[in-house]
Amino acid sequence: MRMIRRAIAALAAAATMAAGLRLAGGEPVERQSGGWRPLDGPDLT
Amino acid sequence: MRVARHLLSGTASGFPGAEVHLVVRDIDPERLTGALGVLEAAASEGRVEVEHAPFPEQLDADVVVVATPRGTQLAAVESALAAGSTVVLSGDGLAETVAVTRLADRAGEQGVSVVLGAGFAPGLSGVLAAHARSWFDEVDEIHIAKAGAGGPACALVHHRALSRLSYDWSEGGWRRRPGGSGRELCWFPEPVGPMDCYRAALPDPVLLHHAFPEVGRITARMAATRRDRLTAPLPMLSPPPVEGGIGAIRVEVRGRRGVSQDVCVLGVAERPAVAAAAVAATTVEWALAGRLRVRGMASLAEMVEPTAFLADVADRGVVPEIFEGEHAVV
Repeated sequence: MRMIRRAIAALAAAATMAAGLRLAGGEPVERQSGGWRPLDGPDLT
Repeated sequence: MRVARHLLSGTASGFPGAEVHLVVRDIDPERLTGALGVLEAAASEGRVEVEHAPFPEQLDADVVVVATPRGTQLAAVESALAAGSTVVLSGDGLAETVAVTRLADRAGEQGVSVVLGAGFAPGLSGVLAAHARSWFDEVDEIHIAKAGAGGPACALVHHRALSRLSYDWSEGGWRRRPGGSGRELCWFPEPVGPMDCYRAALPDPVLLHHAFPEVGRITARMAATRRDRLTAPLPMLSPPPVEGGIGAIRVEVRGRRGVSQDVCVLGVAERPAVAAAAVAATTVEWALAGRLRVRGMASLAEMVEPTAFLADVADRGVVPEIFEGEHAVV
């Protein structure tokens, strides 16, 4: 019984820590722009 | 089947499809019947023959395309080498590709071209890497990513690849890491778009390292879902589709241009089986025209001049694309 309680406590602590990290977050990833275009003309010479 | 159709139809660049004589071998009689149905016109002219197992020992062919399921390719390559035929291998399994490379000395001694990885990835991915490399003064890294499967056999290889060790080339040595690890969001050409990709037992780094031994880092990843990763160690739970949907490859090359570091991203979005057939057929066309660069065993990236090859593949409807955006080369 004590082992189960410890496992639950450990899981709860891990979940709390993960939630904290996710909410606090880090530096946001810089937005990148661009797109795909067919490779032709001078790109294929 | 698709390779046969490509070869029989010829190309705008002058490949004489009408002069091609094909022998289609398969152990599955249903597939052979289907092949005859699809290639009916050419078969009625006597340009297509089918052979069912056990196959005749005598193999009289200029080029042999090995597009057989996992576990059968090594024997097929050995048999083609024994007959002195040029071999075009479109396999994408790591273990089998490595097993086939053990025949390299024999191919070299015989002076017979054996093209490894003449498919979508490996294959077109390597040619794209070779093409992108020509825009750099020095290449430091090549990263390959692929999404989608060509058919049931290909899907099975991908399923197993996620649960086996991946081999990446990193600063002078092979780094072994578990398949399914190393998540990276890769942006493929539309309509595939962004997908999470993971390490897997893929042959691309092995073939690319052989082609570009000076490159410091070479990696390969494969798109997968959570379910794919979870079920990877198990036997395939649901039967794969007969034909895979749309897939894509993405080739990222990093290096130096002049005094600045730069990155170039090339890709293709196409049904993998369609693209692989176009690549294999174009390779056969080049082999028959004597345009392959190596008499011996090498990957497709070493065998062909990339620019002309990409143009020929584009003639067959598989058009490479380039990502233009921040840090793009062109």
